[in-house]
Amino acid sequence: MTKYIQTSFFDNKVLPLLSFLYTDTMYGNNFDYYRIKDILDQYDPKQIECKQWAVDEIQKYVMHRDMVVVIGGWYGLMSHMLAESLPDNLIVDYEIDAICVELHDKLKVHENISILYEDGFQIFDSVEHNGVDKVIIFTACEHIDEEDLYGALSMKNPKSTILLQSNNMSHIDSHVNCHESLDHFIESLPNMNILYKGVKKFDDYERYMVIAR
Amino acid sequence: MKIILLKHGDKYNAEDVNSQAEKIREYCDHEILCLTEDPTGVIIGITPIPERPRLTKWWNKLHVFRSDWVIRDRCVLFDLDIRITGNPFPTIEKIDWDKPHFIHDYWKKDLDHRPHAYETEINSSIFAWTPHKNPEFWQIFACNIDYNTRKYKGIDRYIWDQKLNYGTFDDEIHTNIVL
Repeated sequence: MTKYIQTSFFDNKVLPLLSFLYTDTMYGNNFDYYRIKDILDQYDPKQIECKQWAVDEIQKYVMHRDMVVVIGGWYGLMSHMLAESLPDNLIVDYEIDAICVELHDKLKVHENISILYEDGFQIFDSVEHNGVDKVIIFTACEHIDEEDLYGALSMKNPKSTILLQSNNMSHIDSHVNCHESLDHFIESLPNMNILYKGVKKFDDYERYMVIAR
Repeated sequence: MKIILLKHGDKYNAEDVNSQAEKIREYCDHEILCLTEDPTGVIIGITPIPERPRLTKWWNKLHVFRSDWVIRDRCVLFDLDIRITGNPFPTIEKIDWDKPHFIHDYWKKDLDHRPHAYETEINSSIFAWTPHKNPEFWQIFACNIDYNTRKYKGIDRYIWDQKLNYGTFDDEIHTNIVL
């Protein structure tokens, strides 16, 4: 289907999960109906294309057995695609939405993914993690306050490589930190050594990506 | 009582705030405050939108239910695009102030929406509340802001679907406003 998602993943994991949620919401209160839409949104072709872009570019900077951290992993698409590309690296997926964590666990097929129900931004003020987690990926910068993001990244150990994505979709209610251009996005970040920067243009929006150390 | 006018982002400008305040003053002498992140050009008093968590557009209305909201007097919020054609205050002042009250869009009762459309019969173009009395309006939202702002198209649907404890103004309020 794509370089990093097999058709069998949809057949064996995604579709059964959606079926499970549909049935569960008929009789129980464990999940709400919108989760089905939210999961479908994760697999939107543009979402997949942008995650594939991230994997294509970041794997050039990942060394054998580097730990890769995904912050705000949602239902695990980013981690899944990384695991397809980097089978020998431990991928740690941080997510603060407990239901996302639970449903990601049901979707998980790779043993090298570890899912944590924690705020991934804590790694930046952690002696244990900061600099030890070699590669950090956060593809939802538009969802976090600009000053909070700046503050967290200011503490990043320069030994770690970080991949960031944002976009210009400021009309979306949950987007509190959009940018009008790639340069505008970069200007909002602390001073880092930029290893890669790029724009992916779609009909209705642009997504910006930066890899830095 | 205090009157609150919300202005966030660039959909409305200071002139929209000032003219709505002038219209409201025809019917009451309560203090009118603008809840905004950008007070430029606003000639009434300001109450700043809390900086964290940062919200967009109408979602900022929910800040007023926080337990650390700075105002303690009874409040009424008016949207800037609601047209006031008569005195709405007799209807507003007689509510039970123990719970927030919203406009009832009674005609929506007949709409045949499926539950997961989260369609709502309440309308927050005007709402009245007693600060600090109903913090659950904020707390439930704040537990998962990102998900809630994806799931619901606006605070009316959130309040409706979460089955929060609210009331509605008498329908006579519609004789004094145009939505």
